[in-house]
Amino acid sequence: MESVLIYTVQSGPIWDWRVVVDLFCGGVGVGAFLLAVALSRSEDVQRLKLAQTAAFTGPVMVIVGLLFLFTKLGNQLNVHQMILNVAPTSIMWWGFLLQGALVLCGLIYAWQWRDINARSGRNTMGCLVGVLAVTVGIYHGVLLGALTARPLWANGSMLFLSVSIFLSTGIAGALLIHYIRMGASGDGAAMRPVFVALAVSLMVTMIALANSWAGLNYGSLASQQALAAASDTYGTMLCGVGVGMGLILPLILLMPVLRRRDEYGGLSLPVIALACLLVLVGGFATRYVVVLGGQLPPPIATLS
Amino acid sequence: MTNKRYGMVIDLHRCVGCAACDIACKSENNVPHDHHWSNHIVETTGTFPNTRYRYIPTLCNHCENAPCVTNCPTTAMYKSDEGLTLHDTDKCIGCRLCQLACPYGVIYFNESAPFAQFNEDEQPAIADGTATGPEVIAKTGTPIPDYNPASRLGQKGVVEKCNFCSHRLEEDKLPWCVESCPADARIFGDLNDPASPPSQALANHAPRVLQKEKGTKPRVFYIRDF
Repeated sequence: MESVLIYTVQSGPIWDWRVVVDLFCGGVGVGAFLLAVALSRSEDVQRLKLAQTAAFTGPVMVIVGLLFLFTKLGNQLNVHQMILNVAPTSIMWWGFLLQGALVLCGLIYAWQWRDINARSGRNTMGCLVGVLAVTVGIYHGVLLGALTARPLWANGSMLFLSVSIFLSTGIAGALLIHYIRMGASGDGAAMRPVFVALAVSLMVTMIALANSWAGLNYGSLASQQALAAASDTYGTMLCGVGVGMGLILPLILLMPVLRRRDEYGGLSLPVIALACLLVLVGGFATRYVVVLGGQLPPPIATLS
Repeated sequence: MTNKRYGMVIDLHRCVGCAACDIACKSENNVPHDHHWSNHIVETTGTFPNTRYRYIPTLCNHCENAPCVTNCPTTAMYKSDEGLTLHDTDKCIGCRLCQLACPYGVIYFNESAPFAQFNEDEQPAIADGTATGPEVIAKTGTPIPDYNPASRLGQKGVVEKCNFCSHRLEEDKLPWCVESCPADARIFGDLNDPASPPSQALANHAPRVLQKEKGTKPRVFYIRDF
C-alpha cells in the first residue's frame, strides 16, 4: 500500500483566473509590441498599418492584464508599498518595475504611431520597447519558474513555454484586431511573412509543450506527481482546447497560406480570423492549465 | 542586534498526537477556525499487519533561507534579528506569492474578515438555549468571543502565519504551543546557545526536517522519529 497522507491546508487555488488573464493579456501585449517593432522598418504600407495596430494593442493589453491582477490583490490600498520598499530578491518586484516601464514606454511608442509616416524617434523608442517587451515576456516565465515549491512550474521549460505563447498569441491578437479595424482592404500577399511567423510560433509552442511534458514526465518524483495531478484535472482542456483547438487546427487552417504565395493562399479572410481566434483561445487555455494546474498540491513530503 | 537564533525541536517519541498545540495556537493568536498555524500531517503506510502510523506536528519552519521572504515583493515578509520569519500586515498587498513559494503550506490568506461569521450569525446553536455570536460579542465587549488582546486580530486581504508567538518572546515567555504541550514534546530556545534545551536535544539526537531537498534550512527540527 502506498503512503496515505492527510494534511489540511487552505483550500482552493491561490492564484485564480484573474492571474491567468493577466499573464494572457500581458503575453498578447508583449507579442504585439514585438510585432510592431519588427514591422516598423517595413516599406510596405499594409505592414505598417498592422504595426500601427500592434503598437496600440500592446499597451492596452498589458494595462488590461495588470488591471485584472490588481483586482486579485487582497489589499489593493497597499499597492504603493511596491514602490516604497526595495525587494531585489523578489521576481515580482522586478516584474512590477519592468511592466511599469513597458506601459510607460509603450504608451509613448503608441503615440508615436498616430501618424504612420512620422518615423522620427520611433525606431529608438521601438528598440527600448522591444527590449522591455522581451524582458517582461521572460519575466512571466521566470515568475512561475522561480517557485521551487511548485514542481510543475519550477523548471526551465516554463520559460520556453511562456515565451513561445506570447509570440503566437501576440501575433494572433494583433492580426485579429487589425482585421476588425481595417477589414481585408487590399493586404494579402504582403501579410504572408506575418502568417509564416504565426505558424512558426505555433510550432515552437508545440515543441515547448512537448519539452515541458517530457521534463516533468521523466523528471523527479515530485515532477511526475505534479504532472499527474494536473493531467487528471486539466488534461482534457490542455489536449482539446490548448493543443487541438489552439495549435493544430490553426496550423491546418494556415497551411494553404504557407504553401501558396498568392493572396491568402486561397483562404478567405474569415478563415484567417478564425485561425487567430483559435490561437488566442488555445493560448488562454494553456495559460489556465499551467497556472491552475501548477497549484494542485502534490502529496506533502514528510520527513526526509 | 541580538545574537539569538530561535528554533524548535519536536520530539516525536513524546508527542501523543493530542493536537493541544493546534487548539492552543488558535486561542493565543486569534487564528480563524479554518486556518491552522499549528497543524499536523497524518501518515499511514504499509499493508496490514505491517503498517506504520506517523503524526507529525507542523508549523511555520521559520526557514533560514525562507522562500516566502525571498519572493515577497514588498518586504512584508521578513526575517527578524532572532531568525523569526515575521509578517508586516501594513506592507502586505495580498498577492499571495508567499503562499505559492512556501513548500510547507503553512501560510494562510484571509479571504474575508476573520470571524466575520460571528457578527453575521443571527441564529443561536440551540434556540432559547445559547446566545448568538453578536450577543456574545456585545456581552464580552470584544471583537470576537474568544479574543486574546495580547495578540493581533487578523485583517481581511492579507496573509498570516505562525510567528513563534513573537509577542510572548518579547516578554521572555515560551510560545504558547510549547507551554501547552502536555507531553513536553516541543522544545524551544536559542540555537546559538549550546546549553539551551533545543541545542542539547539536537546534540543528543539526529534531527530531521521537512522537505530537506528544498534547501530552505528549516528551524523546526524533528527528533526520535519512529
